[in-house]
Order: sequence, then C-alpha cells, then structure tokens
Amino acid sequence: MHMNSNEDKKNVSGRIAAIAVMTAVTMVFTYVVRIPIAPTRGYINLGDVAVFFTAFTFGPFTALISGGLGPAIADIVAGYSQWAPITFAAHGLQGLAAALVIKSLGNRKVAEAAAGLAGMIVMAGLYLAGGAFMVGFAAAVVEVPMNIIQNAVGVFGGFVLSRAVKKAYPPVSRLAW
Amino acid sequence: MITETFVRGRGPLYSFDPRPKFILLVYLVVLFLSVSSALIAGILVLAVLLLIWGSLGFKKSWIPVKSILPILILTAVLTPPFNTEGSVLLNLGEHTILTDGGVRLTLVLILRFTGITSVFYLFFSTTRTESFILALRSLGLPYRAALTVTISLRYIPDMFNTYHRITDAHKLRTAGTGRENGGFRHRLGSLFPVLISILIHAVKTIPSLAMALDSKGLGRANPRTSCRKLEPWMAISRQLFLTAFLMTVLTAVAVLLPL
Repeated sequence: MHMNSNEDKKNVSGRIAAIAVMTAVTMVFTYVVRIPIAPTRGYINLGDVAVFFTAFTFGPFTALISGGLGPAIADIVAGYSQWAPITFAAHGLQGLAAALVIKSLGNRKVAEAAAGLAGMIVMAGLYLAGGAFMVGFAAAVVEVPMNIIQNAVGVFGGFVLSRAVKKAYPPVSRLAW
Repeated sequence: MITETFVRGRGPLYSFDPRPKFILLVYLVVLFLSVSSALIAGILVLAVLLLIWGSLGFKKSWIPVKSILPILILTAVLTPPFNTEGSVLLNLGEHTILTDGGVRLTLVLILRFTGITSVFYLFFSTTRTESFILALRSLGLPYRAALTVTISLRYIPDMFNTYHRITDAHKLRTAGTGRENGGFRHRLGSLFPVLISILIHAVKTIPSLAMALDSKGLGRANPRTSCRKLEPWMAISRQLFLTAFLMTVLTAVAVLLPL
C-alpha cells in the first residue's frame, strides 16, 4: 500500500519514538536488575526479557536497534564499555533473529520456542566469538552457560510480558511494524 | 540516575576534539587486537595507563585494571593448558600444563584485554556523552539515528524513576500483610506485575512522544539545531595531524619491530 508523505512522516516519528522509549526500557531492565557472576565480574540481567518483549511486540527493526543500544548503553554506564560494541551486535541481532522468526512463523508456541533458540544461538555465538578475540577461547567459553540461562529467562519473560501487555493495552499492537 | 561516565579533570585529552579521539579509540582497539607481541602490547598498555594517570590521576589509572581482574585471572589459569605449542615448561602426569607458547599467548591476551578496557575507560572518562554523539553525527551517523540516541538518553532517567515509583507502589500493596520480605520465589513472582506496569507506562508514552516530534517539525528539510556545535574540521587540523602521526608511528612500531 502506498502511503502519502504525511502518513509516512507520522510513521517516522512513531518509529523513532518507539525505538527511543524501548531503548530506555531495555537499558533500565539491563542496568537495574542485575545478578553478578562471581568469576568474570559480569552479570545476568533482565535485558534479554526486554529484548524479547520488543521482538515479540514491536517487530524486527525496533528489536534490532533498541535491543542493541539499550544493553550497550548499560555496559558503558556500568563501567564495562569495552564490551559495548559486542553487546550492541549480540543483543541487537538476537532481537532481530527472534522477531524475524516470529514474523515468518506466526505467534504460535513453536514459533516462540524457535525464536528463543535463534536468539540464543546468535547472542551466545557472538559473545563467544567476541570474547575469544578479547580474552581467548578458554575464558570466553566460561560465559556461555550463563548467556544461555539469561536467554532462556529472556524468552520466557518476554513472551509472558508481551502477552500480558497486549491484553492489558491492546493499542500496543498498532505500534508494531 | 547518572547516564554519563565523564570525570571532571584537566589535561590535553579534555581539550582534544572528540572526533580524532574516537578515531584513535577505534584504531587502538584494532591495534590491540592485531598485535601478537607481548612486548609491544605491554608498551602500548603502559602508554595508555600513563595517559590515564596524566589525565585522571594515579588512583584512577587502576580502576580499569581492577574491574577486569577476575577475568584476567581466568584467562591466566585457563589459556596455558589449552595452548601447548612450543617447548614444555611444566607437565602434570601425562598432561602438558605449561609451554612457552602458551605463556606468550596468555600474556598477549591479558595485555590485549587490559589495553582495550583502559582505552575505552580513558575515552568515556574524558568525553561527554553529548560530544560523543556530536562526533558520531559529524562522522556520518544519520540525523534520525542521532536523534533516537539523544531521546533514549533523555528518557533513561525518567524510566529509572518510573521503575522505582512503580516498585514502591507495588510494595505498598503488601505492606502490613506480612508478605513484604518473602523468599526468592515470592520476589520473582512479585517482579512480573512491576515489569508489566513499567512496560504499559512506557508504551503509553510512545504516541505522545511521536506527536511531540511531529510538532517539533521532524522530517522538515532543516533538522533540529543543537545548543553546542563541534569545531569545523579545518579548525582541528593540528589535532588531526597529531592523530595521523600517532597512528603512523604506532603502526610502524607494531609492524617493523622484529619481536
């Protein structure tokens, strides 16, 4: 469907607003609720919950940008800025992969599981690759189980929250694109 | 809530334009990732730590190292047994634990991660967020992308306050019922209603923010102006020359030094 320029302009401001607000939400979910991991001084957090919520509710592009930007800003503020570029790529692509799977398979339970798996492979894989470059493969492998747990919590939490918010505030579905 | 890691101070790095500083940051990260000599990596790390000392003070120069100490120990313990090239230094039964190749690789990895961490720390401690975004914009980041990042940073403290307000409001609902200090399962269970409330509050702000952006004339030919502007490129030609000079010298040292 062809949109006139006025509609197009409205969409642009709506999209910018959605990405900006969801970036702030993802950052707060990542930064505020943190469980430290003793050996590496890293932490598991609810950032993944926000990433999957965005992917299930707003679609691929919002999930890509806000999913990457929110945790990356949290890394910088928390003093782990050296991880920020890897975090941006890992969580952004995690959100994108999950949203694309949901978009192509529909909102079924199998699709949600597949979306979680796709997000987990992308996120854990990128962290492993980036960590291997920075601190070596042996030390990077240690973080993989935690990343998988964090992803699993994210899929479950994101799915539950997305359903609950869509039910409590139906207009949210109109913000997806 | 603080969304800025800038530390007040004086020194040449503070007066340096964020654009050449960002270019140097990217260059140094690439250099640290590509250097395979422990000696060169060590010299680079020492130079960066001295820069932190000069710009932020002696105490601050250890902050980046302290923050990554556990992962450095992990690298030191786990890397040698999995990299057994070179002459053997230590055997445990039939297993080789330590070789000179493994020790060299471990040293390079430790110095690499220390260097990258220190460079990032130095950059974000001496550069304001606003200047960083202006630098990215000047280096080619599209206007709409920069605007999105700026609005996000503006909304983070709001969202942070909303989180605490909603958490307190939910706590009040259980006040006096004896369920205030429940176990882990109770706390996890009570987290979901808080998160749902935050998300509904956040989602409801999107249409009004979009309307505000429309009212501000988003999409017009003349983009929103900024209170602060970076110097024109010509005005920082000396800094650019110094950056190019530093990059050339460091590349020459890394490539030509036969180590």
